[in-house]
Amino acid sequence: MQRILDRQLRRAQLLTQGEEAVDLLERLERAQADPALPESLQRLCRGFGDFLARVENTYLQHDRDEELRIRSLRLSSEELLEANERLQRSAQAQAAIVLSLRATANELLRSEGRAEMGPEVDDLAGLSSLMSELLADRRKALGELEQQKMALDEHAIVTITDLAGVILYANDKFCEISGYPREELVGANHRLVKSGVHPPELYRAMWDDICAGKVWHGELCNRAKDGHLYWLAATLVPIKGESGQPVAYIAIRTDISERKQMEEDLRQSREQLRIALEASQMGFWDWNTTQDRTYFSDQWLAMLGYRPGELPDTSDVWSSLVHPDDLERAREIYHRHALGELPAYKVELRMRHRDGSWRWLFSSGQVTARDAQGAATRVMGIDTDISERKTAELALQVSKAQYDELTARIPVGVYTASIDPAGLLTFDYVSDRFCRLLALEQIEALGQSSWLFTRVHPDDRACLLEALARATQARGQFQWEGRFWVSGGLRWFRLEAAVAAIPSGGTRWNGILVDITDRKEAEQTMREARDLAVAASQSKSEFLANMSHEIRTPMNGVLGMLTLLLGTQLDDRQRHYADLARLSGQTLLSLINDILDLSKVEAGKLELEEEDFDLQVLLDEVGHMMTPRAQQKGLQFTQSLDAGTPRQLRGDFRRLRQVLVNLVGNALKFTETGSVTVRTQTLFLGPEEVTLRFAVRDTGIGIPRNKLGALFQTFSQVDASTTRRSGGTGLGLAISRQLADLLGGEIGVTSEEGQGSEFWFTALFARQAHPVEAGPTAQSALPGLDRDFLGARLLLAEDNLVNQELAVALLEQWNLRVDVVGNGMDAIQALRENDYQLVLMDIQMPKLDGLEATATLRNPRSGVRNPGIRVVALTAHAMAGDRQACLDAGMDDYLTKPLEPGVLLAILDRHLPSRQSQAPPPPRVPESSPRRPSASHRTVRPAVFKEEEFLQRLLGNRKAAAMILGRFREDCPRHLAQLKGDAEAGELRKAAAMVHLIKGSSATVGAAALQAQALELEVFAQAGDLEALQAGLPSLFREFEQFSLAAQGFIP
Amino acid sequence: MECRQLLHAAAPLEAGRLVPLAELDPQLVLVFGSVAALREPALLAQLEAAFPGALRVGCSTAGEISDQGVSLDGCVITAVKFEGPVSLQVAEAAVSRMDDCQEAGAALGAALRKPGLRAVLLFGKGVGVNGSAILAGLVSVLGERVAISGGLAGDGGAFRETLTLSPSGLTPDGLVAVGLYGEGLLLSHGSRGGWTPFGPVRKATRSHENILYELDGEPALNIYKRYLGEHARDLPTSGLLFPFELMSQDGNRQGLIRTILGVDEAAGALILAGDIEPGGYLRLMHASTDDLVDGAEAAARLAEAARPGATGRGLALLVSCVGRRLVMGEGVDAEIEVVGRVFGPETTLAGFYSYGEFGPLGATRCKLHNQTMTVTYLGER
Repeated sequence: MQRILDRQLRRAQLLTQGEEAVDLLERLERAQADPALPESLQRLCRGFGDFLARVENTYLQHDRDEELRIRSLRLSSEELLEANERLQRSAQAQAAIVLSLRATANELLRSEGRAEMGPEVDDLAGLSSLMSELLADRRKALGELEQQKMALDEHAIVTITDLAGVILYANDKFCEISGYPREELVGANHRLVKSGVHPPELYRAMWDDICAGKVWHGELCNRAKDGHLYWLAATLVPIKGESGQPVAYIAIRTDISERKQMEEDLRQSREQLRIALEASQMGFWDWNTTQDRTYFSDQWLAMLGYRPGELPDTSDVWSSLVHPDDLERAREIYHRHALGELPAYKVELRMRHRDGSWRWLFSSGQVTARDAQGAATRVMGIDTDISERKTAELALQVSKAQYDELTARIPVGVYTASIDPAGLLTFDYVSDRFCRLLALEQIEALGQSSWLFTRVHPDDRACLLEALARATQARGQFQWEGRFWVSGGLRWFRLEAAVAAIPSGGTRWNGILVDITDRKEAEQTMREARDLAVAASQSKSEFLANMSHEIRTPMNGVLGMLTLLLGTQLDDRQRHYADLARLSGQTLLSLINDILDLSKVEAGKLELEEEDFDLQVLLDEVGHMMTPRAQQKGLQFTQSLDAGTPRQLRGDFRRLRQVLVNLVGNALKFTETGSVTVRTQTLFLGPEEVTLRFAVRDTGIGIPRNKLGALFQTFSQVDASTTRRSGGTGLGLAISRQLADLLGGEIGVTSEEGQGSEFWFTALFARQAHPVEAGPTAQSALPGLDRDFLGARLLLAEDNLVNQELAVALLEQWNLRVDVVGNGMDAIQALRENDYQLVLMDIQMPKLDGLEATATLRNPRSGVRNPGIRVVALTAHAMAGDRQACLDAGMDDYLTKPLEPGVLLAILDRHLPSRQSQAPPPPRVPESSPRRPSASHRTVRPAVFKEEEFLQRLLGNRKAAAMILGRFREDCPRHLAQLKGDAEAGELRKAAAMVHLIKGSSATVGAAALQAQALELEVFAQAGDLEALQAGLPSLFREFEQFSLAAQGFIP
Repeated sequence: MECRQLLHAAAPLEAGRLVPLAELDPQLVLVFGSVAALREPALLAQLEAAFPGALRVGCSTAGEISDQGVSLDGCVITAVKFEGPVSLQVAEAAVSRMDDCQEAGAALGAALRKPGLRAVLLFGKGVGVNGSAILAGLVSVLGERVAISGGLAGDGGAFRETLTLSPSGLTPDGLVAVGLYGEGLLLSHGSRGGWTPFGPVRKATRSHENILYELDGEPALNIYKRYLGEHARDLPTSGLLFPFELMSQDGNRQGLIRTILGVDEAAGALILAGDIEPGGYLRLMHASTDDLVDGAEAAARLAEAARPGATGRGLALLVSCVGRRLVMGEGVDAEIEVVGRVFGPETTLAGFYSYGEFGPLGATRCKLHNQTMTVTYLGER
């Protein structure tokens, strides 16, 4: 129970002595249970305890509150007191601080020379800010000092040493320049860098000064670590201690090594200059314009013959010595230089020597100093005595003038030029005429030679450059002709020069220039005329060549008619007239032929053929042809072929034959008694070609010496009378010469009048690569001529029955089935109906010839079963063009007639499979089969019936031979009659074709003589000689009769 | 607006007693009671049965406030009916650690953030929390223009465990916030302490958020022990008698008072209800009953300013501080009576003694107060 409440309860008598509140509460508890108590009293009793508790709580709370309050009060008072004391103490401390601070501030102010503060200043803030201010000042000052130090360090070489000379401090620069690292310097004696250059006195004096407290200045030479020396300008300042005595010294130095070096260099160069001037004899002058005094060196004075001191040094001395004619010019040049127009003052002038003579001087100088306005204040220069040179110059000028005069008179242009090592061409001298020729001014011509190249005609420029280059290289002669533009027109010039080397490495050219325009024009005119003539001749020849046929045809007509006429009933007079007419006609035709031939050659229309041929055969043929005529005249005709001469040749045998015929013909013509011999020999034998020499020797009338020269020219005959007697056009030899020329050879003659002549010519032929030799070759092919072609089916298109028989006989022997047709149309039809492995196609057939038929069958739309079928051409033509024509028409291969078994077999082997393929590799099929071999026949007359050969060709098949011969005997007469008819009708072409056919057939059956005759007639036919053809017909007929007889034994 | 209130003492609530409140068909039901009262097994079920469609929020107290004054160990249930276009939304969060406070506050803010938000009623865990951190979190999301009222729950001064009532039920770690939306709402606030500072100004030489370790280099707890003497054994409760006045580093009074929520004997530190500025200054405060009552009156007068515009009954939410009750003891009713006199009979008083009050301070819309009577008036136009 709270005290106060307890007392109050007792005061109110609610609690008696010895009673406690709890007792009261108990009494009330008991009392409230009394039922007699009224409700309000009961509530009172019940609630009194609670009420009392609340009151007590309040009292307790108040007690608590009061206690806390008092406590708080006490505590906070204590705290406040404490705080107060703390503040006081802090204030005192602050006051002391302020005092101390003020003292320090005053000290600082004093040190700065400012007024001190009085004791009234006790404002901490103010002091503080003052302190900050002072501190800032000090810091700034220190900063500045630091910067100065840095600057010094950067620039100067600084060391601090003690009195003994031991280095206490060395800055970076010192380390750098001495080459020693700092560690080696600090602590070492300064003696380290002693150079040894200075005398000891210097160092002693230095020491004395600094020990006395003075500052020492001087230049010192030190030695770096690597041994090299360097110069320094040094200032040594003693650092005084408290006593005022030096305790150390600081050395501040700058590197003057460079300056020292420059000084030395300057001294040396001055010395050099002095020596040079002395040695060169050049006079040096130095004109001070402001003072108007000129210094003349001793050499300068000596140049003009004066001794030192003999001339005053005023500048008017100079002008008094200059030649009056040169003074103006010299002054002007100087002024221009002084104004800056000329980079230097250079002039040649005369000055008077002491002895009165004029010396030429070359004066050269420069303004070396100017004042603020730019006017020259100092001019220096050097004069050289050039009197000798000047004299020489003048002499040269005179000489040049003379030279000019001289060269002016020479009709050609004279020049001197030089080409420097870089290739630059300069004209050093050109004569007057040179310039006039080229319409150039001398100024233009001299010097740079670009005009040369701009004026030359563009087309000639390259040539000129090349010629120049070549001559420069070769250093010999130079010549060139070309065109230059002169006054708007082109003119031809010839440039010549002698080129010589000059020491500088270039070349010197001395030469002339000639105007050759006239000559060139003349040349041009001539050339044109010649070209025109040649062209004219050419066109004439062309015309003639083209006209050949047109010309011959009427002639043939005339002759033909005359022949016919002669075949009719004529009286003697008529016959005589006709004979003469015919003779004239023949002559005319002959002449025409020759002319046309010649013109063909001249027109270039004559092309040589290239065919394989046998030389012996050819010679034999010629023999065949000429023998009858020889016999007629009772002359002996022989021919010989030297041993070792290759027979299998390639070339235009027709032309060869023509020449031989011509020469032999001539020989026969002009020989009355004796012999004509033809000799063939090898001149040069190469692996691929051979040069032959043909010589026709006769025992005739010979040729006068004076006519020999003109022999091979056109229209010359030895004797006009001979011509009339013996006919001839006089063109033969000319043509022969052309032909010999075409054949790659020459022609010539030797003759003795009354003794005879020998006409010779050479010709070049190629050798056949794989010659199919005559006879032996054919024979060696025999053994391997068995074949089995497995029954392959062939189509043979051939109109000649004899040939048909022969072919079939051969083919069937080799197990081939052959279908035969007689013309191209039937061949096409057969190819449409049947399958064949191969077609043998004759070229000349009626209705549709071989070429056309082949072309047709190659077309897929022709309907033939196999447009790609192999087609082998059979032809008797054997000419180069024919072969190509066959191949062009689409044929695959090519055989010549008459068929040779070996060759045929070789072709078949190529295109058909067979059982026996052990046959030796077939010989290369020649482009044209060689002429009918008459191996053993060296006699002139060909055999009537070459029975052996014929049989061989049929592989010994007598039965077939008989059949074929029979056919031939039937056909040939018909052909002969046809031929006769055609010839009489003048149908030359048809006659030629018939002769050709007869020739082929006779060859097939071995009727050699007949064949030969037919050949001859064929030649005539090809030559257009109808008359000869007709003349030869009787003998043809005769030959056939003879053959028939000879072959009778065969036919059963 | 209409309000109906029921105060019942700590005994199972009779079934019919909630009927008049239920008949109101309220949107909001505020429940403040002692820990024991709230833990009455049937209470929650009864509340749910009576007010199925309403938001039922509240917390445990260190004393209940109603029209009838202050009660202890009781339960005040106040049903509020908004007649106008006012909408409500509830949000809740949990705080298990002191560090979670700000985050939790932010979460609440995020949940309530909608156009038209005028005010938030916030009730939360009263021990082991940093009340200003919770507020900071909430303000960080909602901004400073939303008025936040409410307080930290109490547990009769034991400082052991409080309870919060939210849609999830009763939780010791919970925070619950009700957002009030609508232009028709009338709101006003007043908050006053009545405490007087005394003694020297002391510097918070060592502190961390709401933990005060040292004052002027001395362990903060020692000062309390000195001043409380024998009452020190009742710490932390007895500490409520001497709250701190907060002053800024430059010595300015902030008008904020901080109470201790707990002590850390080992560290010699005081755990305050809210943050203090490190290096700031503090001064001890004391108050007499009369001072406190005057303070309450002043607070009421400030909040009453909005009442003339209200139609119907209004609600005055009174959140007072446990420390005041401790000081006033038996006379604590006086501060409620004076508030009631200020507002008049048309206003229903409801609230509780808390461990920290939420309410505007001056220009700032929301601060954690200690040792104040914080009055929030709610009405409708």
